[in-house]
Amino acid sequence: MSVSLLRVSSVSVRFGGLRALDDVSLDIRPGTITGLIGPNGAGKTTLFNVVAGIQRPTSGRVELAGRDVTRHAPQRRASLGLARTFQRLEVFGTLSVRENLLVGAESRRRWERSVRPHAIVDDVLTRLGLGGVEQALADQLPTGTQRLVELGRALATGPRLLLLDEGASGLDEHETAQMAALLRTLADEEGLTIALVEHDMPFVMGLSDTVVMLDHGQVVAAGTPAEVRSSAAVQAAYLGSSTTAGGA
Amino acid sequence: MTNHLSRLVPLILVAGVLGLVVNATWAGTPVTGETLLQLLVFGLPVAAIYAVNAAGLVVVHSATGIFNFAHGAIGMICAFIFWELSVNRELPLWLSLVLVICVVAPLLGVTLDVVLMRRLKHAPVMMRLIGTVGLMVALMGVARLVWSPQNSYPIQPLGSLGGIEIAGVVLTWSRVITLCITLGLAVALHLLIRMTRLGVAMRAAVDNEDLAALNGISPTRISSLAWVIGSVTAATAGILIAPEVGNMSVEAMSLLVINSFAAAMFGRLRSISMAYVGALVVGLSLTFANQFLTFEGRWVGVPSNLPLILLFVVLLALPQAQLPTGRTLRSYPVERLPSNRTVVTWALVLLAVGGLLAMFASNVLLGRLGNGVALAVILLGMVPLMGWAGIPFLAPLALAGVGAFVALWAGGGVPTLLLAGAATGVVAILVALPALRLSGLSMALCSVAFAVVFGALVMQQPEILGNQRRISDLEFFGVDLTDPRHFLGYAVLVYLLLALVLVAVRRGAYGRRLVAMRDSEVAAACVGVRLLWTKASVFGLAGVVAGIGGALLVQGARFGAVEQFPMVFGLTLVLSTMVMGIGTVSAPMAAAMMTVLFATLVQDWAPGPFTSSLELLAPGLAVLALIDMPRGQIPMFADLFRRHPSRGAVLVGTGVLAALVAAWLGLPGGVAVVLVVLAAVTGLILATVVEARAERLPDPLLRKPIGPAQVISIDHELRLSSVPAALPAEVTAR
Repeated sequence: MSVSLLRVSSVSVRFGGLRALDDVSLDIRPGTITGLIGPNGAGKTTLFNVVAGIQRPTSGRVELAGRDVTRHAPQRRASLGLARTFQRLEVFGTLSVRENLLVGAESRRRWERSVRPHAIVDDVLTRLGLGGVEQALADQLPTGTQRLVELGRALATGPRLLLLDEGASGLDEHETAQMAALLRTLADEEGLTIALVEHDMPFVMGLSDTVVMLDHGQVVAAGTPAEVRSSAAVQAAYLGSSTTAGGA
Repeated sequence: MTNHLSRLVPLILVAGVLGLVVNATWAGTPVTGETLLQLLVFGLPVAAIYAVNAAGLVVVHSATGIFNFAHGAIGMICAFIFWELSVNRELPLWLSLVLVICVVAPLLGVTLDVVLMRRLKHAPVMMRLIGTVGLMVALMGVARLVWSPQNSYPIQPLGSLGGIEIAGVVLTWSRVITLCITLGLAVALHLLIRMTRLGVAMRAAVDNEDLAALNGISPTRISSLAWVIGSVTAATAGILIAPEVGNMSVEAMSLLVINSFAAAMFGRLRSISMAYVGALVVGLSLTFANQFLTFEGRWVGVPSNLPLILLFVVLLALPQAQLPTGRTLRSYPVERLPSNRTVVTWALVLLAVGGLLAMFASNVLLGRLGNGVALAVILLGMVPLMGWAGIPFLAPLALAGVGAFVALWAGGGVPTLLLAGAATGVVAILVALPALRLSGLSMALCSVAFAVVFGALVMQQPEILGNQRRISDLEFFGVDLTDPRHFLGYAVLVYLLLALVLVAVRRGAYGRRLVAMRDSEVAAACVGVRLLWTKASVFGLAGVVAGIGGALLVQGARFGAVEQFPMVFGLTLVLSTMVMGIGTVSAPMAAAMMTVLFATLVQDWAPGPFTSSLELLAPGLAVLALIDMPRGQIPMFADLFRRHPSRGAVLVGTGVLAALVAAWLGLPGGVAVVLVVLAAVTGLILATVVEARAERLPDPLLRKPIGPAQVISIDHELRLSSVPAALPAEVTAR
């Protein structure tokens, strides 16, 4: 039985009267892919923000590789091996694609002295097939490519845990399949742990080892894709039974 | 925890210092019911005027997202028009008042909105911040043109002499009128915003303009209304405060509004009622200082700067904002890195022009050029800070003043440059530390407050730069730098060296981090960039460069005094640099040379109100033009230049032609060199513009994101009968 890489315990986030997250607990084991699903406003991005350190939880605890990081700033969590992409794109728009990745690789030198940023960037560029646009300014690329740039930048920091917030939206069918294959390889061969938020159900269900469903800020189902797919809560949320339709 | 601590510590410090100051300066007036009543009688009218201004600032900011630095300048213009009507044209006071407040001010508001503000609203962040600073400077230029600073402009108080006696002091009729007008305005504003449909719409538009537009609320009407309210409040406050000032001056009237900034920030620019509370605090503490405390000698400037000190405190006490996500902030493109060849070529060109000028220019012109290059070095410090890291810092001359002081203190010799740089770097970091968590507007405001307070309270001290300090001799390895020729060469070398260092910095990992942080703070943090450390260090870097510039400035003048570092001049310098393109290391030089050109125009060639107002008008207006080309002139022309087929020929050709003309006219050498350089550059610009027109380049500057509202308006223009059922994914994704 391996230890959790990420442990979220009883995390709640309140915005005024609204409970964005309500007593959410989550365990993610190393080398696995976890899919987070749920209707819009269910709290998926808020949960990512809490894990990444952008949003302070009102209560609860976040542990990364056994260390309590609840009060750590995002940059400190990054140095512990956390990387993420954003639902609404946050590329460094006025830097070239190569420079975007370099910023990631270079800050990695702070906690991993021996790395050679340019070599890392070359490797990631090839992997993601971004070699052709490496000199282009990130702002000027199509949305799908910008998502890849964000993924590349995250990978360049050499993460242990990668949070992908709708990393496949804006990609076409072929690119989505490529992305799934890439993520699978990263998890299986390099032991990268991945948590992803995605609306594309076949993509999540096909790729994830574990699926967690959030609704109204609460975990309503968790388990293997098959278990979650057949759970009553998922049926209710996605097929529109009376109480939970719509989300917050 | 650390967040609370970082907010509390400065507050406790400030409170402690204030307590000590009050204790030390107590004038001995007993605190009785009567003196407290007097405090109210004197303080309330002042507070009321601040409240009017603050309400205007809040309304404009919350309805349009623009903080109006020019609020005071609008009030100033209206007060001068009031003077023109009531004193110069001898109209009755009441008629002048009604004309200005009910006709001139609303018209001015609508005009500003239509001509400028609607476009500014969608401009990149830095432009939105600096745009109204440009407007302020431009309005000051206009006022100087119309109402010459040589004359005096006294405004009579409204109402006759006498008044009501309360607690042994007289509440003059003019103050009674002030209270009535401001109260009336506050009630009207309240009714308008709370009770009318337009007012409610205004509040809705703050949250989501596109959504409001889809619900049939016209954003243009809302924005116009906000600017009308802004102008009317500015005009009212301007006219009411003018008699308190006595003889109006363009600058003092425009800057008085800074006192209201603190009040507006009390309500975080969102709440009008909190802004009123803020105005009360500011007004009463000012009166308290005047009534109960005595500041003498070196501290005589304290009371008038009290509102700024309060602004500082309010800004530092603002809670930390969450890192913004979702890219609501849009930045402007940073320049591609120049190639080695470009850097070397332009360095050589600069040296050559400097050398030619040293050979031919007169001593007066050489002196001015040396001074200009020193200013360029000061501005060079703003390139990494504002251009790359995107931190709006409007007080370059305050930093330069630190460098100047340190250099003078250490004797003023050449090696003191390094000492000045190091010391200013440290000071810059210390000053920035409490303000680092502030973003955008708060940072800009903080820097303005810093510039004024620092200038009035620190640099003014006789031990610092209050008394003029001289440098007797200046030499470097046997070269006499008191000779303006030698000094020019020396200054140009310092500039080049620092510019090269900065280019190297921008090319490295640190430079990338700065730009990354500017483009997306949250993403930078998530890849491990330490935001606070990066921001603090870029302040340090800016301080080092600006400090060296300040030292250079006093070396060139061979004396140092506080008058060399005025705040408004610093603002115009920053504006000029932005016009040129603050992301490039060549922009500071171009901006500084513009000021040299203006100085020469004003002092030698065509002295008069027109040229002297041009000094303010030109940078102000040019910044407004920047809305359409946010990268600045130099990068834009550099782009066109690269595409020009025969650029070398044009450059040399126009230069030679100008040289021939200069020789034929028998112009003095220095003027001829300037003329040749100007002609060559102008020729090149003209040629590239002609070429660009011929090429019919597509507009590369589609900066406004296309939202649902724009899609609908485009459909309307194209006469498409209905909106498509599903918007394209690309559009909705925005």
